[in-house]
Amino acid sequence: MRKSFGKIRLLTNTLLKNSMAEADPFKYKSLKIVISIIGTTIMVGCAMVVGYFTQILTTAITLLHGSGTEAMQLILYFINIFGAVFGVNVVCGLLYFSMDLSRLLPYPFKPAEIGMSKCIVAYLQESIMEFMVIIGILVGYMLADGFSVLRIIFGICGVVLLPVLPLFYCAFFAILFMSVAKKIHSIKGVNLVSAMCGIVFTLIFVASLLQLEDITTESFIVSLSDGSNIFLTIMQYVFFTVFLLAKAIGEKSILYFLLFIAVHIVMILVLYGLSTVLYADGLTAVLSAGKKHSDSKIKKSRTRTIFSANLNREIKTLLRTPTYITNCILPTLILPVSGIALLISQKGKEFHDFIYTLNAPDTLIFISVIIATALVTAMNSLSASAFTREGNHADLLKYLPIPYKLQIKVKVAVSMIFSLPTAIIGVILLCCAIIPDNIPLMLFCVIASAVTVVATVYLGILFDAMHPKLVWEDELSALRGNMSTFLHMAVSIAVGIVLGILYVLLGKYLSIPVVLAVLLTVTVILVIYCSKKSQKLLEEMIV
Amino acid sequence: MSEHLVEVKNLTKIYGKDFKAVDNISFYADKGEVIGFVGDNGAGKTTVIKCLTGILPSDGGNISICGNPVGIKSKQCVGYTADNPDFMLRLTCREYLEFLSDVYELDENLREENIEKLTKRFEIEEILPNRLDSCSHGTRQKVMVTGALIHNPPVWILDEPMTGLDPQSAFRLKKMIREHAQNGNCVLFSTHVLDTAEEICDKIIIIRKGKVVCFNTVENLKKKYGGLSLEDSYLNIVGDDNA
Repeated sequence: MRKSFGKIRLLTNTLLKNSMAEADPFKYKSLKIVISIIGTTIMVGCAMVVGYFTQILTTAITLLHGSGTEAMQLILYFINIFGAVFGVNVVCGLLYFSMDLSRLLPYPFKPAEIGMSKCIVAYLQESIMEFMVIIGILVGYMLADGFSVLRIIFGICGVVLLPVLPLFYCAFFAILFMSVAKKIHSIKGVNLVSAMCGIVFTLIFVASLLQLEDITTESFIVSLSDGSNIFLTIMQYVFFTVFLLAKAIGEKSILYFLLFIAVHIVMILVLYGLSTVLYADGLTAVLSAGKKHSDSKIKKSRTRTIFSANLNREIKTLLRTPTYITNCILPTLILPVSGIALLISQKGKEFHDFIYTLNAPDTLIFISVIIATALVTAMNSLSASAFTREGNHADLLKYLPIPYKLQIKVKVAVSMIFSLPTAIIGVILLCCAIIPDNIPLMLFCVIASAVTVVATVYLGILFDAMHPKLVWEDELSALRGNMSTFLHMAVSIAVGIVLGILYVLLGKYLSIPVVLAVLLTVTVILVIYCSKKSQKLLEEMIV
Repeated sequence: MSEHLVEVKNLTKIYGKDFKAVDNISFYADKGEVIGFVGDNGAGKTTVIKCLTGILPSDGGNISICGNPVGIKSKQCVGYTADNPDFMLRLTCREYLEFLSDVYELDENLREENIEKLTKRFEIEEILPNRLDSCSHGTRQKVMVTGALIHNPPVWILDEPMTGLDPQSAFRLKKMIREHAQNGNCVLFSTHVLDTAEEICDKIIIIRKGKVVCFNTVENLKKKYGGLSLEDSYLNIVGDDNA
């Protein structure tokens, strides 16, 4: 057993060293500094916002109930849900589908040692952001209910251990399912499981809202404080470590804390035992699955231009890769789905009435459209992973006899094809729900949304040309930890914050046509600059 | 207990429901022997190697390496070089070799001695501080070969080892294969290059559609199937589809 732990430590350290080293060392040092600053700011900012929210909610519950950890629990449950839903992909991918498995198996490691190492790597890779947010939540709670040495000690342990349970579930069920069912032979099936988990948790949360007679913030807080909230009750069983930690911190109970620690030790032992008995079975099934070959006849296609041939290749790659569908294409539907939801629920009128109680409502709507479009376009990573997606085969950008300018046009076109129509449709639907009678504003919003997509796409292409992540094992790792997509998102958030500040400071004086004119001008400049700069970067790109 | 260093009896491997990639294969390798797997693409060479190294479990038959069935003990006896050197790319070459030294539990002195000896042999001492992803394909392959030999394994298994190596390195690798066998070990490797197989192999295993078509010494093969070279004999056995 001791020897086995030694091997797990050795393999874990090596895998971490390999996975956490920079994929592609930065060409520009200043870019690395900028990204580090932006990344830290975003993480600390998120932690502070969540902490502040916890503090307010805890204060509200304390006023109603005397004291209570329900606010802290509620947010920690969400963190655990995110951990579980997104962890399914990561844990299954690492345990069964990562390419290094066939290289590790010839070495004298027991399958359980490989399995445990992979789980630890998943925990550390997935939890860095969670650690920050959990610190924020615990600090927020303690700001509202008081600090103490015991609470701080319990809190520190909580920060480290709370992300364990969701990943334990992922690994536990993955090992169990893969060894028993032996049906999932690719990560595609895992994506489905992840989506289903997300839907189940969402339904439970929606049920907790529907149980309220009147869906308001007040009634929700009351349901939390009086213990009638279904979501909280169910989650206390599902993610019981949150409940134990909340009890330990809330009641300063050493007993609950020891129970919290003991549960984690049991989880590790269970996982080790399960890996010893079953991990090899599932792994064997995946490795022996073979590949399906299509028997269908190949259709002859017409001769195409270089542009359309390349466009076709890019679109087919996107549509035939489940990771790209879930991470790049589905997010483009956020605006249309929101619009449809608003139309069906008929809450648009309420939104309208609320917005029109605020300062400069038309400007607010207009600016919100720009921010939402920019965020959704950046979130889908289509443009910011344009060169990254080529991966090991990025050399084709160089050796194919296609001018770089045309290649960039293809990359832009692919991003536009998926981002632009959905953004426009989404904005139209949202406008129909919120401002059905204000046609001129609707028109301005649609134009602004389209222009924002163009600007955001060109910016994404530029960022990816500056720092493409060309070394990756699977598509998910191409998108995750990719500095181009991170920078793209960060800049979009920064632009959103600047626009928000402008609205707060100058709301009354901001004229929509003027803002649109500025947006158009900036976009034209961006298009010209990004095209030229990306072309130059592509010429210099080392593949 | 098997007397051979490597003994494979009636090995079968099925992919999916019914695709027999390896069909009832038997062969053995003794101390001092270099055995070459040859065959067309998809014949089953890599699958056999994967079964030997424990990457894939077999669906029938027995494998014995240094007297052990495939497991931790057999893996301790094997040094494996895969066909693709893209592994642990973000480690430095030294970190990679140190990782393998720890996996095979070498003490510090032996580790240093072996790293120095092997890297000198391949002339890669200078690149030890570099990350693997900054090395060329051939250099990576040299590091992988070094890693496979770090614990001086009695059985050395290589999958298409010459791919991407420069002429000097290919020459040196061939020499190392022979020397490793002469030191009382055995080497099994797959290759498409029949000249190489003829040059360094004691015995050849020709695999076709998952079955062993022929398992014999190069000389016996030539005698039995005719031809001046292994290539001629090979074509006589499997047929020249393009001829």
